[in-house]
Formats: sequence, structure tokens, C-alpha cells
Amino acid sequence: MATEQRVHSEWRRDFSGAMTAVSGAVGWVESIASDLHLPDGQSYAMQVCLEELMANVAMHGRSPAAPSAEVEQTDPLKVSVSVNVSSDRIILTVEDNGRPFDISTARPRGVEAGLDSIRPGGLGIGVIRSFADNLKYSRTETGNRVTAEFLR
Amino acid sequence: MELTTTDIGNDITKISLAGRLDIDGALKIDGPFMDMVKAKKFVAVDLSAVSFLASLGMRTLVSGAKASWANSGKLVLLKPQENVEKVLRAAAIDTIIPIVRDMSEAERVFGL
Repeated sequence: MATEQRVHSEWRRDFSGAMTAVSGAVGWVESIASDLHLPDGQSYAMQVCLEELMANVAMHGRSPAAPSAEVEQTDPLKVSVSVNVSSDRIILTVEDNGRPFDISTARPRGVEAGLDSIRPGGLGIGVIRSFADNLKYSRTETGNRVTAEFLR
Repeated sequence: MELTTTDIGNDITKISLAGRLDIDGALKIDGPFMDMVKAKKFVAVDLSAVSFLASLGMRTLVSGAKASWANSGKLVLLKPQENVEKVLRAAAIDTIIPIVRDMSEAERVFGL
């Protein structure tokens, strides 16, 4: 009798695009990694990339000029996270309905000029690129889709 | 996220952080961390018990280092765990805030 081997699993969950939702989403991904007995390094990579991607949506998903209360009532910022696990890779997909931002081509904020000249914050792009093996961006009908791939 | 301080003499204070220095952790310690950094000349931030670091946590560390510089002091990062150090290096924080392995190395950075 043949034994079915589960080689592909997918999880998906929707979150608010607010900063307060980030920790819950990261905790959810951590629990998936734990259930799958993924190595600590891989779990960490997924968590740090998700935290940076969601923080980016929360901070920059809306135009600073937008009348935030009104927009948030009619079209609240939302983030959908999916984790797709196969035998050779894990794909973390983050979709949002915010304004366009291509993180795959954005320039990391430099610190070359020294401590005195850098502004705190905005350091996450380099972190995402360092921890993800591949990073892809596409514009969707309603917002942005970022796919971070981690090879197993 | 927990924060404790130890005055170890010679104008050096060790600030020990423990837990996740993520968005929630950074928000929790930002105020007391900055107050302590501003009040001390040489600060070693012990990261050995920090299990997670992301950019908002780095913002806290960078703000502290800038405040220390403005106060004619110095700040170093002490013994980060492997993944935390990888985050620091990915953002090139190590090029502006020294990472040290022990207090004697910290004292050399402080010029003591």
C-alpha cells in the first residue's frame, strides 16, 4: 500500500495593516515554523522578513497627505500573508492594498556617511535582502505583492 | 523585553536587554533606554539575551548611539547572538556602532 507523502502545504491569514498587527503575524509564522520543525535560522529569516515587510506597509502604505481617518474608514489598510512550504523551499507572500512600493528595487538606506548623518529607521530593506534567498515584487489590481523565497 | 543596568565603574554602564527587540519591544524600552544612554558617558549594550532584532529595534540602538555621541560619549553593542548580529551587519549598523565580544574590548573602544 502506497503511503501518501505530504510535500506541499499552504497557510494564509489576513491582518490589519496597522503596526499593532505585526507582532501577531510574526508570531503566527513562528508557530508554523515550529510546527514544521524548521531550523532556527530559517524560522528567524521568515520572521524578520515578515516583520520588515509589514512594518513597511504600516509606515508607508498610505500617502502622508491622505486624510487618514476618512480613508481608513472606507478602505482600511490590509495585509494578507501566506506561507507556502514545499520540499525544497518556503515562499512567504505578503500582499497589501497600500500605495505602490517596489521593495525589490528600492535602495537600502545607506549608513556610509557615518552615525552623525543617518536617520533612524528605514533599515529593513537590506535586512530583507540579506535573509531572503529571492525577492520578487509585483503590482496587483489593489496594491502590492512581495514574495520572499527561502531555500531549504 | 526587559532592560537592566549595571554600573561597572570607570564611567561605564552596561545596559542589558533581554527578549525580542521587535516593534513591541522597541516601543517598550525606547523611553528608559534613551534616558539611561543620555545620562551615561560610556555605554555597553549587552545583546546576548536578545533573541530577535528587526529594524525598529535597530532604530532604538541607532538613536541611543547618536544621543551618546552628542553627549561626547560612546556606545558599543556587546555579544549579539548569531542571527541578531546578521541583522546588524545586513543593515551595516556594525560600520557605525562597534560590535564587541567582551568588556575588555569595549574598554579599548572607549579609549580606557
